[in-house]
Amino acid sequence: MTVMPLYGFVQGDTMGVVVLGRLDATVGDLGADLLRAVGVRINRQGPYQLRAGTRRLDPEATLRTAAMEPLDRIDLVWDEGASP
Amino acid sequence: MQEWVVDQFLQTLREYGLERPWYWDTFVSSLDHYHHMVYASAYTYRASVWFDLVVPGPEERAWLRSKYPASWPSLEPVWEQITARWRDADPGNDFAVHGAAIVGFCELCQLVLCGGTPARNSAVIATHGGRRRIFCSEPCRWIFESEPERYAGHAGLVQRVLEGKAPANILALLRQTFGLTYDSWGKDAFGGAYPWLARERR
Repeated sequence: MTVMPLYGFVQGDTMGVVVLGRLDATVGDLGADLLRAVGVRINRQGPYQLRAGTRRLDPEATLRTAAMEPLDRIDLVWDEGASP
Repeated sequence: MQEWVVDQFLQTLREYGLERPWYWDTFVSSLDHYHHMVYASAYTYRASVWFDLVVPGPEERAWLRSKYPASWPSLEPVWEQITARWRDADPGNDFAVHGAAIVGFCELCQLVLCGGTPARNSAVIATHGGRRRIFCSEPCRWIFESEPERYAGHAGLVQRVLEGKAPANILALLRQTFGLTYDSWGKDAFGGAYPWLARERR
């Protein structure tokens, strides 16, 4: 499988969505995709981190090296100081 | 309203000698957020329902702010963004202000994953019989795990999409799976042409 479905949640949003992540894409790419997916409700700028459970994901890691699995839950959490 | 409904329910429990359910506190805390979460989510996927929805205007938002001081401030940015999208869109162009991503649904209640608050969604993932499932909240997971045989055979929308049994494209999904058409699916009740929403002349 080169693409995997993931449940994505963006802090400040009202619902979860499904995003498709490529295994060779980076966690940073996934974050950008997730923000595009919720863009109708969220237009926040600034630094953020992606988390899978208690793990903070390295934005440079690929989904493969980050050991992501299909239907994992990903949370995009804004760093403090990010503009609302 | 909450006092009337909740107090009456508690009185009924007392009369029958029943305990409050373990998720009572979760239920009570959700009363301030849940319907706002669902409404904003439904608005941005309104073509998937068969009724029209509206964007709360300045007067309604002021009322909501006064009545829901604990929850409304966290929801206001969502409506500001929806308003901004309408400001940049032509009136009647509903899909300029509409979600296109696949929606996540709770595999127990089959509602959109709208639990918790904007700051922290309450969805939880669990594995049963080798299959991963997502639930909108711990109570829904508990209900599922109390009777897994009752629910395990149900294929939710996301599963059907992932198995290729339903299209992922929102328009194809509405037409082929939901049986909706342009005439029957939900739209913004005013086509985004609100008197309080000023558009730049283009």
